[in-house]
Order: sequence, then structure tokens, then C-alpha cells
Amino acid sequence: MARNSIWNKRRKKELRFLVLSLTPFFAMLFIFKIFPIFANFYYSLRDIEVQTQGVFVGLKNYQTLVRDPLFYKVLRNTFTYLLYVGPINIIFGFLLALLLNQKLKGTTFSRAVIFVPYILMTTLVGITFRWILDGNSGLLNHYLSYLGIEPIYWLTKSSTAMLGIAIASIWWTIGYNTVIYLAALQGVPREYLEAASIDGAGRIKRLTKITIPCVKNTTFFVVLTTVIYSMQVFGQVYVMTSGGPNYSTLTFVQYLYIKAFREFKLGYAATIGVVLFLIILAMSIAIFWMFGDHDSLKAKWLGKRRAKFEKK
Amino acid sequence: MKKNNNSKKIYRALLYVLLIMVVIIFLAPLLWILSTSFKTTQEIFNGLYNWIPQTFTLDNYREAITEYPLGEWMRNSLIVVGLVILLSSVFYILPAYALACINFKGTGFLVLLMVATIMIPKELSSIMSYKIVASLELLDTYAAVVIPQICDAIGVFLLYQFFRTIPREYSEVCQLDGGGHFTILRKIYLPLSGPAISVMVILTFVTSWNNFFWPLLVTFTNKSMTLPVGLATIMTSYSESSASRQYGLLMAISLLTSIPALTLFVLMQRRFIEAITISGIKG
Repeated sequence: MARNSIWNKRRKKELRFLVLSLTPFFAMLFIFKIFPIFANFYYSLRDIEVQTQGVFVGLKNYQTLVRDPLFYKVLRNTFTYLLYVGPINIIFGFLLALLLNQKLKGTTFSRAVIFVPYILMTTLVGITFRWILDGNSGLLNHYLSYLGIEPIYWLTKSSTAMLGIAIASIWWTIGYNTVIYLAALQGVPREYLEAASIDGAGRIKRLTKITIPCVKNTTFFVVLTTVIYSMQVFGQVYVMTSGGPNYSTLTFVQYLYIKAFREFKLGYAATIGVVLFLIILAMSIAIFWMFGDHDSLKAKWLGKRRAKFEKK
Repeated sequence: MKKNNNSKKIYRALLYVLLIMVVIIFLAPLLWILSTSFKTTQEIFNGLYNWIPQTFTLDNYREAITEYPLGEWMRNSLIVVGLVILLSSVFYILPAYALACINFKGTGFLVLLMVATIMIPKELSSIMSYKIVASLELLDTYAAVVIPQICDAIGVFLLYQFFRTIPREYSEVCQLDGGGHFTILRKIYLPLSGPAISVMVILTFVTSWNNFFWPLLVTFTNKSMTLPVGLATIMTSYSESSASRQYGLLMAISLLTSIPALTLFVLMQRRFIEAITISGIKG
């Protein structure tokens, strides 16, 4: 009896602690992360302003969107950016990690150098590359002229503006992928590589048959984040070209920004947000499916739950 | 045998050449900022592209400090980042502990929910967040910048993962001595979690210091404007032609404003890279 009441008291105390510790964070998570996604769906069906809930307009915003020529431009621009940045950031991020993983002098220093751009502010990267990519007196054109290349007006011509932004973005973010790949490479078992080497496998063969399969999970993560971050590109564009020239660098998030916070068409902006969300969701699912780890993932989750069950 | 040795040497030499090229390519933009910032305007456009300034001038720095409210923006950024780190320490450690160390129904669901939100771009929640902040009449205040940043699930998830590695026996002993959860957390978990917490703090610092999109929406004056937004206003206020005259000044500003993050990086380089790696592998 007495024991029971002590237990009850403890249980009560524990419950109070749980509520106290979980509520603030999860409340924030719901208010600023989870509800807003649903809110976008709700807002997209309305004509809405900052201070009011607006009126229901059905699918009008979606009808406007499919007829909006700028929207198609935005789609194309964002995917162009992804095509420039994605493969290079992933493949060269991996190759750089391979290089830094060799037993060479100065790799620690080099790793820091490759990573340091990542901690700079986006706006700062944008300003710096506006200067480096300057058509008349930029550094890049100067060195390209040694190769006999005529000055390129990177950011002021529609055909090259997105490429210019991609160059800045690659310099800024590739170090992130390199650092993550580097950690994964250090986890590749040495014995495998040595055994393969004894069996007469060359460098290329060891790379394709052992190293790359061993870092598959990291590749999955790197592909996923690179794709998602590329779809969100904003800061560099804002500073370097503000979407121009002739809308050739206007991206998804920037279009959302302009519609929502310059023109205050929140309903229409929410519609753009919904479409971006669905695109990112579809691409994430495709990447999950591509890496086809359904079984091991399931096993991992089930295993975790079983372990917890047994603990109880 | 000898031939094999030679080819190995050549291979290594090639790797070194490659490594040096990579380092040069990555360092060049940073060195160019440094070089440009000490040049006079005439020298910047003299077409020589010399890396070491001929006439060394501090005018750009003088102008940067006197013409632009860099100090105010820097102060705002530091206050915002400080508040975010302070608040998130409390907001992240407690739920991470509760999820990792207390048995209750729904842990799995809450963790899953948390992880699912990590991949959602924060720009997508901006419309509702903006409406909330606007209706609370918080626009252009520190609170508006700080509050929506305290919901980064990566931080909680990292701590949660770390707390799970601490043996339960420790806390059971403490519990037998009559200690509540706050005591267990303070006496056992926190002292053991130095590395994990520093990883969380560094991650929070990097994301918050560089955060551009959200502060751009909710700050309008120097009262609350953070550095990234301030820099953007300088840049967008220049037209294409006038910007090209001002690059010495802009590079001086870039250099001055990156000092806090760069200093921190140089001092804690290993921790920084460790933090990013862990977030990548676990996230």
C-alpha cells in the first residue's frame, strides 16, 4: 500500500517532468515547422493578406499558376541550377575527399581550406563572386584570357548568369560534402582494400568495387541534401542578380519571396510553396527509392522498436 | 621492382600537384578579397591583377566603418545568435533527455516526427510564421528574428542520439538516492555531454549566423537588422555600374564582417568539422 503510493507519486512527478520538458520544443516545432506546411495548403485556396484570413477562392491560385509563364521559367531555372551544382558537388565532393584521404602532407590544412567557404555568409559569397565574375575587371575573366577565352559577362547575360551563380555556390558548399565523405572514407575497412590489393585489383577496381559501395549510405545522404538545398537556392541569387537579367536566374524560393513579401499575395505565394513542397517530397521519395534500402531501413526501425520493447 | 617504385613516386607527385591546385583554387577568392580590400580604386581597375597591392591603403576600411552601420549589424547578429544558442540549449537538452531516458508511449512517434521535419525547407514555413510574428506585432524586433529559429530538430536529434549512449545504470543509482530527473540531468548527463553540446552549439551558431531568408523578412531597420541582411541591402542599393567602382570598399566590408565566424573556425577548426560531420552522418 505505502509502496504503491510512493510509486504513484514518482510516476506523477515523472509525468510532470515529461510535460515540462517536451512541451516547449514540440510546441515550437508544431507552430513554426509542421503547421505552416498544412497552412500553405489552406492559404493556397484563399485570397489572403497579412492581417486577415481572406476569402475562399477554390483552385483559382492553381489555375493562375499553371498559366503563369514566369512560373515555368522559375521551374526551368531552379532545375538548371540543380543540374549545374548537383553533379559537381556530389562527384567532385567525393573526389576531393578521396584526395584528402591519401597519406599526404598538408591534408589537414587542405581540408580546412576546402571547408572554410562553407562558414561564410551567403550574402558575402554573393558579393565576392560578383567581383570575381565581373565582366570587365573580374579575376576569372583575366585568367580565362590566358586560355584565349574572350571576356564573359557572367552575371549580366541571361545565358551565363545561372552558371555564374552555380560557380559561386559550388565554391561555397562543396566542402560540406567533402568533409562528410571524408568521414565515411575513414570508415571503409582497410582489410577489404588490402585483401583486394593482394588479389591483384587495381586502384580503379578497388574504388568501384569496394570504396564506393562502402560509402553508399553517405552518398544517399549527400544526394538527398544536395538536391533539397539546391531546390531552395535563394541568398546567392538575391545578392548576385536579384533574379535577372530577364528573369534568367529567378528561382523557386525567390519567386515565393517576391509574391509573398514584396507583392503580399500570400495566397499565391502559398500555392508556389505547396508546389515546391510536393516537388521536394517527390524527389526525396525518388532518391529513397533509388537507393533502395527499404529492407535494411525497415529492419533498422523494427529493430529499434523491438529493442525498446525488450527494455520495457 | 624498381619500375614499380618509380611509378609510385610519380603517382604521389601527381597527387601533390593536384592537392596544391585544389588549395590554390579554394584559397584564391579569399586572398582576392584580402588583396582588393587594401587597394586604391585606381589600382583595382588598372588591369594588372596584381595580388600584392602596390600602394597599400586603409581607406576602404575607414570608409566601411564610417559609412555603414557595420557595428550595429554586428551587434544585432551577435545578440540574435547568442539568444538562439542560449534558448536552444534549454529547449533542446530537455526534450532530448526526456526522449532518450524516460520510457513512455509515443517516443518513437515523436522522434520520427522530429526527423521528418529536418528535411523540410524552412522557407516553406515562412508565410505562416510571418503572419504569426506580424499579428503579435513583433516585426523588426529581436524576438521576431530569434523565436522561429528555436525549432531546429537536428540539434535535439543529435543530443538524443548522444544521451542514448550513456548507460542507464548511472541514472538508476542517482534515482535510488532520491534524485529527480533534473538532478540526474545536471549531475550525470550534462557533465558527460560536453562534446555533444559543443557540436550542437557550433551547428546552431553556423545556421543562425548565416541565416538570411528569415531575418530578411522580419527586419527593416538597423535596430534589428542582422549582418547578412545588412550586407544584402548594401549590395542591392548599388546599381550595376556604381558597384563596380566600390569593390575595394565591399571587400573590406566582407572581410570585417566575416571576422567573428572565421576566428571561431580557426580556434575550433577540428570541433567545427566534427560538428558538421556528425550532423551529416546522423542527420
